[in-house]
Amino acid sequence: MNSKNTKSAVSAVAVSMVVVSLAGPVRAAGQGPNAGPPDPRQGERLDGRSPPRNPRRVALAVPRLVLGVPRVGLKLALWPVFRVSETIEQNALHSRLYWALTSEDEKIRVWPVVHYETGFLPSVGLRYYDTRSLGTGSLVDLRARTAGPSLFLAEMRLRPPDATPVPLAVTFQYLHENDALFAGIHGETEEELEAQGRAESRYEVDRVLGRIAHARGLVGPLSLALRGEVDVRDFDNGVERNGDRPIVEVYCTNPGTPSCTEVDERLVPGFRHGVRVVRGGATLRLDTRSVDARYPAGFSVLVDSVYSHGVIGDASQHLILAGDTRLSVRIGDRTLLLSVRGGLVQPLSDASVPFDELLSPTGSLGVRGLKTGRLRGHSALVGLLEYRWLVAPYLDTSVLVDYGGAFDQGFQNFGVDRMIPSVGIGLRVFRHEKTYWQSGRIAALQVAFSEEGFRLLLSASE
Amino acid sequence: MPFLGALRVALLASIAAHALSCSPRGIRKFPDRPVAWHEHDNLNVLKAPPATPWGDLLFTMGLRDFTSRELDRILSLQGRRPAEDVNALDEVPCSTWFCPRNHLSPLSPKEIMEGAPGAGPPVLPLRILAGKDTGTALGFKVEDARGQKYLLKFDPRGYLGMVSGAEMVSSRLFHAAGYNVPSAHLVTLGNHDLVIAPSATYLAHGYDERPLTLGRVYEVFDQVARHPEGRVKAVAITWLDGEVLGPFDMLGRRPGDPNDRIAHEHRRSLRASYVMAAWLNEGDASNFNTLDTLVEEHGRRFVRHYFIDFSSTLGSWTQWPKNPWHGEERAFELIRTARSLVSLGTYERPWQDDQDEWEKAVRRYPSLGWLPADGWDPSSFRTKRKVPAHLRMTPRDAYWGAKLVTSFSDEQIHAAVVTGDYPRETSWELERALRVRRDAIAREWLLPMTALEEPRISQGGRILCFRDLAIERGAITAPEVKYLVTVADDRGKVLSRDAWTPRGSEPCLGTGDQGKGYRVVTIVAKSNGHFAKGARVHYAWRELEKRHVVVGLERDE
Repeated sequence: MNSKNTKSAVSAVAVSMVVVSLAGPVRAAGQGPNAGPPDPRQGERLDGRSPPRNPRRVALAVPRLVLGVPRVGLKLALWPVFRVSETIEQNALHSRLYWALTSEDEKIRVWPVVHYETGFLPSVGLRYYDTRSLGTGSLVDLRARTAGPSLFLAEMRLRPPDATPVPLAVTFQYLHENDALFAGIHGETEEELEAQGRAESRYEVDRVLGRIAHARGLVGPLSLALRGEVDVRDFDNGVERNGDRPIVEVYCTNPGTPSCTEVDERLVPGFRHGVRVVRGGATLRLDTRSVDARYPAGFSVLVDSVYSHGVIGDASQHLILAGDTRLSVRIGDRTLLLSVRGGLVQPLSDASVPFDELLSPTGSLGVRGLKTGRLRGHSALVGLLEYRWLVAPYLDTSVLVDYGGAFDQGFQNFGVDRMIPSVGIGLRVFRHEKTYWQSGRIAALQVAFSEEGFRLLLSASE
Repeated sequence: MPFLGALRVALLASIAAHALSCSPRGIRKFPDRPVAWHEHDNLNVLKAPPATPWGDLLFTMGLRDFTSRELDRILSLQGRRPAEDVNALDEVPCSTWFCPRNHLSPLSPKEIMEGAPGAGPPVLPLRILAGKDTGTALGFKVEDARGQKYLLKFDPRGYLGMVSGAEMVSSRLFHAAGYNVPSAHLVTLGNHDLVIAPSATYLAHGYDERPLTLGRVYEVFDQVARHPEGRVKAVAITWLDGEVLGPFDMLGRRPGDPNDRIAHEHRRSLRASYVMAAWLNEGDASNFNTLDTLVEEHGRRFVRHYFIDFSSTLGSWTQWPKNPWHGEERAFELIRTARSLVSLGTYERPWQDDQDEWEKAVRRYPSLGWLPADGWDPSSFRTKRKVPAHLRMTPRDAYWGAKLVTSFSDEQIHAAVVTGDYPRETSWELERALRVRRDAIAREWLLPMTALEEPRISQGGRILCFRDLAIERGAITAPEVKYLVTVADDRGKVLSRDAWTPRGSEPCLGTGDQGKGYRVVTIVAKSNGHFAKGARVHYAWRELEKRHVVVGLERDE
């Protein structure tokens, strides 16, 4: 049957149904006052009348028949979803998994962590969180995350119990990554890289970091943190990732020639010998924002200074000064966050500052449309503007604008044209808790766009 | 695309059919018979129906209610369908689901305070038989000194009386309205009032059955609220008689139960339980707060249907006070979420302005929690889950639900609240909130209908008297109302039309009719420029008695 015939047939059926449905009223015969009340056991309706005839019922038969197809389709499509959900619930699988990884008092837990950002491999791992073993107020926080041979991150953070006279927090970190990103040490824009015949490249880093820190409140919202660090990093050629070539092929003296076998130390200072430094740093922070609020209000100012001294063959000496100002304006269940971060690295000897010690205004607190490590320089400045609002009791969305760049010493080549903008959107998932405006974050997802492409950042349980 | 063409034609045909079906039709006459006040759904069941297979599947059932059931409802083009458990006076007769109480014959304050029948308050000491393995409230299954079983529930720390008070008050009001509920009693427990049965166990984490030790009891007691002197307040809920069959579904019928003749979503008593839920802020109303038991009475075994668990009513959300969004937002709201998303947060739900009020209220009345009253809009009430029966509620069902709620006088509300044993100020505030919410419900759901009740015909069919519930319950004043009255015969032929203004809540109108045939008087209330949905009184001539009798009352859907 062709489409015209189908149409006419359907029309004829539908019209005839309408006519039939509008036929005369149904009348129930009276049965007299002595008949007794209507009795559903006898198949009677409780009001004693015959069932109402709904003319729409007949008229809607055809549309219902047609819509029956997606109805059945949906049922079939959702059937496996319900079966899986049912199996999980009936066997309490989620609960079993949680309690297999959690102590009875919930003070010791192990849970999975997931991290992904565009341009890098997704990594998964576990986090061990223990607030019992070392005493009240203490913390043992172990994390391990991997993306196979390309990435392995292990971190241990220890916080002593509250009763400790001078509480010192200790951190150890080991990182192996063979797709870390490098694209110059002067905050090169895409055009500059192209003009230089360079591009984004990948290198390998093995890092061991030890840190000891002490933080204390001074007056009201003012606090001071002191820290000492030992940091050892070795570098090697990276792998090709996402179209980016290994660093040796891009940052050698004459790229594209057979002599291009090792990284040019002038372009990537410190690559050959690595980093071996000890550091001493102090952070002064004034923070008036409430810690547990989903929509914080207030401001924070942070000043950080770090002295780095090369050891064991590393001749570098430098001072890093950084500042971070954040202003959070709460408007009901919305917050506007304005942040300006900047810093500079001042060499204190003739030796170059190792490239990995330079400032990079990228990552989750930098220009989010750029890959982590995309910009590096002796000075950096980035402004973030984020507007976040509630879309559901447990879900927030945000729009964000970042604008930043990296420059030479003392912001020498600073220029607005050398700063890169990015825009993005984000989602945050919160727990169901006593009040929705104080609930804690479970996971976050951000998508940011810049002239160099788009970037997705996902973190859960971190 | 023949399929799309055919679909277009089919949809046009259905629209035409709908338009035509709205034109005047003939009259469905009521037989001249006594009104049915019993559903007779308590016949002997030879074989026990199987227990509910989904009793623990909270997430799966929620997912199903939000997705396949909802899409099925929309795609099946169900439209508004009248409830089926309704008699000739537009009332719900007595059944195993519901039995009319306060709105047809008001209960005394004492009866309200007594609540549902049961074994009475527990006699101490209590023996712990098992942990409370379902729900989020803290508690135990216990047996009293007489061997009577109870479910013991405690208040969360910091909120003494919140859960126990909500259980006491709401279960009494639901029972007084006509629903089946287990009886609940307050108890205060000291250290020696609880002992552990040697065989007692509890289900840890939902899957691991363990012996119930003293340590576990202390663990629970660490989380519960106490009186200043250290005693623990709890509510003891009577264990229901009979064989427990699990919760009933709000859609379809229970398989294996021949008495279950009406699909649950077409029961007015379930549809309009939404209005009770709105009044008492039962944001957690769902399949899971119901229970069927196979009982034996007068030599017959049949299924009785209960509403249970009122811990999440009033201002309580069991573990905490309600969030401002509880009772105002579903767990998942596609449209609202999308609106918030695209409007960059300039679209706000009404509850988003309540944070300061919430802080103040919870600090001032921790035993009550969050129960908004002033400015509360009943139409904004939402249960966390989608409840299939609620979604099918028609304005006629809602009107009936409002009849239940507005039947409670201030004195009766006071009697119910007293049973919660709240601090005095909290008690006053709760009573005030329930009164304000009741009155808001009257305006929301009584006014859209012509609130005609108890029609009586006299003087040979010339005078029709009735109660106007909207006026009687203060939703509107008599001078604001005008009735448009039409009298027709059994063929729909209009015999007279008139307009009347009532002088009070029990008006009498002249019909101008002197005939002996079947008549239908249609009354449409008009107030403040709005026409309410009409009510139609059917009356017939009873030859033997030589008088007219009202044989039915129907309302527009």
